[in-house]
Amino acid sequence: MKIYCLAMSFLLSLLVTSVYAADVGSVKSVEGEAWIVRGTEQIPAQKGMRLQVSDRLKTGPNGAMGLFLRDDTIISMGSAGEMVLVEFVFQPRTNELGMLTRFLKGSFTYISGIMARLNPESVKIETPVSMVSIRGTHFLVNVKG
Amino acid sequence: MRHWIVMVVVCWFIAGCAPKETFVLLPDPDGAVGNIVVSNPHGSQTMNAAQQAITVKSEADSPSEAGIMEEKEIRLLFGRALDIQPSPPAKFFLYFQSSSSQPKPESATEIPRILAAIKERGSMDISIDGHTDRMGDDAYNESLSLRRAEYIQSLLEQYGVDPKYISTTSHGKNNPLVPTVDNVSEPRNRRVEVIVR
Repeated sequence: MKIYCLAMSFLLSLLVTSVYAADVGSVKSVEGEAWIVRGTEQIPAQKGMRLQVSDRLKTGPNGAMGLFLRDDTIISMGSAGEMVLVEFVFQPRTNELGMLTRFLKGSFTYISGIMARLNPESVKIETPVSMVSIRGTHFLVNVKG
Repeated sequence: MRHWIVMVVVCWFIAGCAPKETFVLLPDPDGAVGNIVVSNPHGSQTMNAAQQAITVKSEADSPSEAGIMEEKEIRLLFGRALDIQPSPPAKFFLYFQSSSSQPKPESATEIPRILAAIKERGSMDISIDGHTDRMGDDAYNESLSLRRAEYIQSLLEQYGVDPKYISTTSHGKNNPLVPTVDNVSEPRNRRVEVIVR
């Protein structure tokens, strides 16, 4: 029975881990040209597409895109934008939290999610020449291209 | 204070001498205003009021003091991103009897509301997270919370929600709404949370 329980919890933890590892959020809305750059692939972004760690998100001169991350962080980007989801770990049950977003160019909105509420230090935002630390916050970033 | 921000933005459009980076603080969707700190190797500045803005002119400069950026300027710089910003997800809580994977009758009525939210938002990203209280051992609660989540998933699928839009997770007893010690029966923790994004 004990072995069965251990095996069961191990399998379940694998299940939960793999869900989070594979899927850190999704594309909610797209206008004009927008892409997910994953490794060497540049995939045209479409509503409903799942996001992964290390994804680079880009919009064209007429593009715009809205995103949800798994902890309910909301990010949107205007035209000619570029950002990277560098790190995203969200497992509140084991208190493993960590998120790094890098805004490289363009205009962005950011509404922080559960991770920032549970542990603000776990949420990091970087731009080419600055770092932002947040306390439960909706804010805007523009980086000149 | 107000003046320089207007100048900065006017400058942006006329001469292309805009600051490298601009940060603006807005109220959260619930109306509260948080605070943010912008820092770099040259210094750090804090914003804690709505529509405050900080700029960083270049790599060699410290963040500016916070000034107010007017609505019009905010729209000019951020209009496109603000227009496409998704609204916060809709959240639903369904509650269960002890040891049961069937929702209580009063929670079953949430199903039509969940379906309506999925339709209204055109959602393609739905999370179903199962939870238990702290009665019983870990393995039992893991499996119970999974059965609860899967039961709600099967209901949504019966009503035509595409399974590929749904991610189901099981949290067992470790993510309570109301923290308790072990072996306490707590109805508010016997729940499934459905998040419609």
